[in-house]
Amino acid sequence: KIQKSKVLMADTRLAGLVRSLGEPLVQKIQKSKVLMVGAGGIGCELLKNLVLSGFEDIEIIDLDTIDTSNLNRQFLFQKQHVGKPKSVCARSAALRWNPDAKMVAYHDDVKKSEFGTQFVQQFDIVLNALDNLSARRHVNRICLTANVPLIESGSAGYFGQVQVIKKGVSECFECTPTAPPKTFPICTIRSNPSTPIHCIVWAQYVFKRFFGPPDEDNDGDEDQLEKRKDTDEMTEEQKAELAEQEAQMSEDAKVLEKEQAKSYERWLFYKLFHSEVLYLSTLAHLWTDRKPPVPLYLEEDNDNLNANVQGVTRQPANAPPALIPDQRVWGLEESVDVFLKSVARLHKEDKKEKWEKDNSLHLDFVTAAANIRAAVFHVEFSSRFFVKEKAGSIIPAIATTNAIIAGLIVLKAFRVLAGKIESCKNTWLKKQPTRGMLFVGCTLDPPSNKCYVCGNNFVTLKINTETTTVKYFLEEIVKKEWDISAPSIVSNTGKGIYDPPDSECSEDEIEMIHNNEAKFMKDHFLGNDSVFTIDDFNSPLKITVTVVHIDGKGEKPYEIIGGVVAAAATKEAEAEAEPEQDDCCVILQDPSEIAVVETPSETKKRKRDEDDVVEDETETKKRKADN
Amino acid sequence: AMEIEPTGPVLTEEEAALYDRQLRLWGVEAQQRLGQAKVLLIGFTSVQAEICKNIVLAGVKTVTINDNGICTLEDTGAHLFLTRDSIGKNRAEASVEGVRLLNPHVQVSASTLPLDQIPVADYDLCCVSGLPLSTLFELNEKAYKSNTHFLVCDTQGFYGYLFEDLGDNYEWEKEKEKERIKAPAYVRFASALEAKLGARSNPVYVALRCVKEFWDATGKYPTPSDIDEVLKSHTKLQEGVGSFRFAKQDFVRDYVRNLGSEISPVCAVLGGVAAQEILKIICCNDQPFSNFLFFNGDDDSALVENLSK
Repeated sequence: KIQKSKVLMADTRLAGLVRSLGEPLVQKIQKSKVLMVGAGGIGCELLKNLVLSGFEDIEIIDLDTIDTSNLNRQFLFQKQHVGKPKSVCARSAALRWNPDAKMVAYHDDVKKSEFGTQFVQQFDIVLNALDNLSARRHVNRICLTANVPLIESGSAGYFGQVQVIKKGVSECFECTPTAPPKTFPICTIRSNPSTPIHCIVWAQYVFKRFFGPPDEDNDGDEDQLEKRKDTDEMTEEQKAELAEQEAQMSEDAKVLEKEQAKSYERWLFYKLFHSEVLYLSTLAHLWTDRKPPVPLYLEEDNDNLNANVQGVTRQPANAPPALIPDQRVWGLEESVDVFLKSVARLHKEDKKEKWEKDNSLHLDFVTAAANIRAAVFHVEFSSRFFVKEKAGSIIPAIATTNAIIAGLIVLKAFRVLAGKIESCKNTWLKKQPTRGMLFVGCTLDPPSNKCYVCGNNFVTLKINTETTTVKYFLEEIVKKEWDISAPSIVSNTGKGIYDPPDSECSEDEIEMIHNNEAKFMKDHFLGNDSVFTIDDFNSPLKITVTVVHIDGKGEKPYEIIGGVVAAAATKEAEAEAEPEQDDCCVILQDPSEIAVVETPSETKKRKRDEDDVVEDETETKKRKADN
Repeated sequence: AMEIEPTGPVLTEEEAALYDRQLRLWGVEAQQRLGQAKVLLIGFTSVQAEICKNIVLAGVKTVTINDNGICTLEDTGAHLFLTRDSIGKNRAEASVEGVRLLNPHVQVSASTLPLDQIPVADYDLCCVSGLPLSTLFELNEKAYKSNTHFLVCDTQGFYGYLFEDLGDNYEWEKEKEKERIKAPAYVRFASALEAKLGARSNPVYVALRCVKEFWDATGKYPTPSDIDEVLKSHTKLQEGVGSFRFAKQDFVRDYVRNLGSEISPVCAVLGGVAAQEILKIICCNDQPFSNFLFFNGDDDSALVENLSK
């Protein structure tokens, strides 16, 4: 059946595109099914480019709704759309360029199982327009399993990058570990802050501790200050010092009780800014090189800072004139006032909500608390504007960067669909050109054989998940087919599914394992469309399995698609990829908020755009040295 | 025309909320400078539409879109503001409503004035696209005389270029240092199209030179059917140089085949780069390009080069 192509008609809006790309490719574009994940900054620009480039079959997933702060760049949305789902509004707006385009919008989370391997396999290409690491990793793994090409991208401020990912051809998103999120030692935050950011992190921690939702990891509101020394090992002098400390703290405890009787907010103020600070100030070894912290207290008869408090800065020094209200830096007295008022309100409302940067009360609290903390420790004050950015992990964003990145994504998509993926480049956008180049391009690196994600074997298992037990699966397939004698099974979302019993298991644990083994696969996380990784304790073998449920009425009770070879990934490589986090570290920002991988450093081994670079001698030497 | 001026009117609460994510990048002072800028866009091609979108979102004070053309079907192929309903209408007038919706704080107007009547001096910056070469030269002279920054931005299918002429006295400030830096004087577009060619000349520039030769001979731009004439120009230019390393005949063939095409992602990339230059020029907060940027969609490269007679 020959369908008359729309493109063959001379009178078409795509005539220019046909002349430049050629008709076969434009026809291919029109028939391609594209999945766009994310409809925000990059997504709006990308959707516009896709529709204007002849793509007609597009599905869009985004879980977010529109916010005022999006409107400076997410141009498919206007004021009246604030609060509505991005995917739906983007789709609706994009129809203006092709009312006949077939677009489906999902206001949903791409990590849900309905967007798993089977879903993704329908598409010719997947385009990410995401703003967080965890979703990027998820889509990366699904695309590897589904063997669908993926174009990954990111932007932050003036910078951005586009990365082409295809299993077996290029590095996957996780072949090169991303820079770990910025962390601070917990002792700095709790005992020894020296920058405004330390104070802001502390204030967020306080919010979580007193007003946030109850947490499994909660160490209670214990004062995890430095432990006191064992008195047996002390000198006389040290014992005297300790006795003095204890006397002070016992006086302090009495005042704290009095404050508690007056109001909750006075009690919290005294606890945080007097009791805890007094204790810290007695730890002389912390203050050998800097001024010790100054404990604060309020007037007895009113809620102002006590006039007798000395040795703290009360007004911001050298603050430039505030051009917008939020940039005005509060002094100490104002911060105390805001602190008391916001604590009173938070305590009264008792909502136990997670801290949110767009919640005015939450932001007021953190700004006030951070500034009081700063005064105590002789650190600079911060404006509300600054606190919102740091505490809220805001990444500055503009339309132009996203427009450039989205344009590059589509140009690379053309190449991928034309079957020329090997000649694709990854591209980084700079703020200023170096050696004349505003974009830096690198040819694709092959997959890393140490990558614990794509260095895996990928198999699909077709089996009746309703009548096959977990035990059968473990014995007949995992052990006999794949030769894994001590399998550890973890789902794609990180949930543990199975670990073999060992000598350290309690009787209850062993009983639970046996119960699980007796269940049918579908009743124990191994049902249709489940994706999980099987690790072998006794060998480096690692397999990623996708399960497809079949009735199994044929001769073979199951079918395995995809071979399993001796593992490329070793346990060592996996350990390298996920360095152990030091227990003493506190994470500043949600690691999933990292938007973009930074331009590759000069020391990273990579291929360069040879044609465009005229190297001088020193550069050649450096390049050779780096390689 | 724009100099580094003290900060302008205070941002309203609504503007502070709308511009929040960009204030955090370039600061409130730069935003205030943007809020004083008057920009003229002549020739509402698809890449100009992208430039327009970007500078309106950023919050310049006024944008005047001048175009005397009537919208055709092909014009709607890669254009943000021209749809089927625009066909037969003046391109500027058909677009203006859509542009206004992007940012209610910007004054956007359509102009159909003939090019020789446009009051270029009333604007801080002028960007032209899709215009005949002779017109470009005339407008450039007018802009130079009135101290109006002058940019040219054009795409040909997979290829495109941006040209900047910021006059003799452009200054910018390095943000943290507050140090004023004077840029070397810029040249006119006519002079920039007479640079000495070399073996390593940029292929898009060489193609542009071939186009200029055709223009000089016929008074028109070449179309894909003029390939033979254009290749003759290429051969002649190459003789003067020996051999072009990048600007080979095959490249010029591809370039000619792309003449008259507008491709959305190319317009998006070049329009984004050009708009960012415009914003930077208005804010005087970083070094502008001098004086050409060439985009090559074969290898996704964006190369800045300084070319003059």
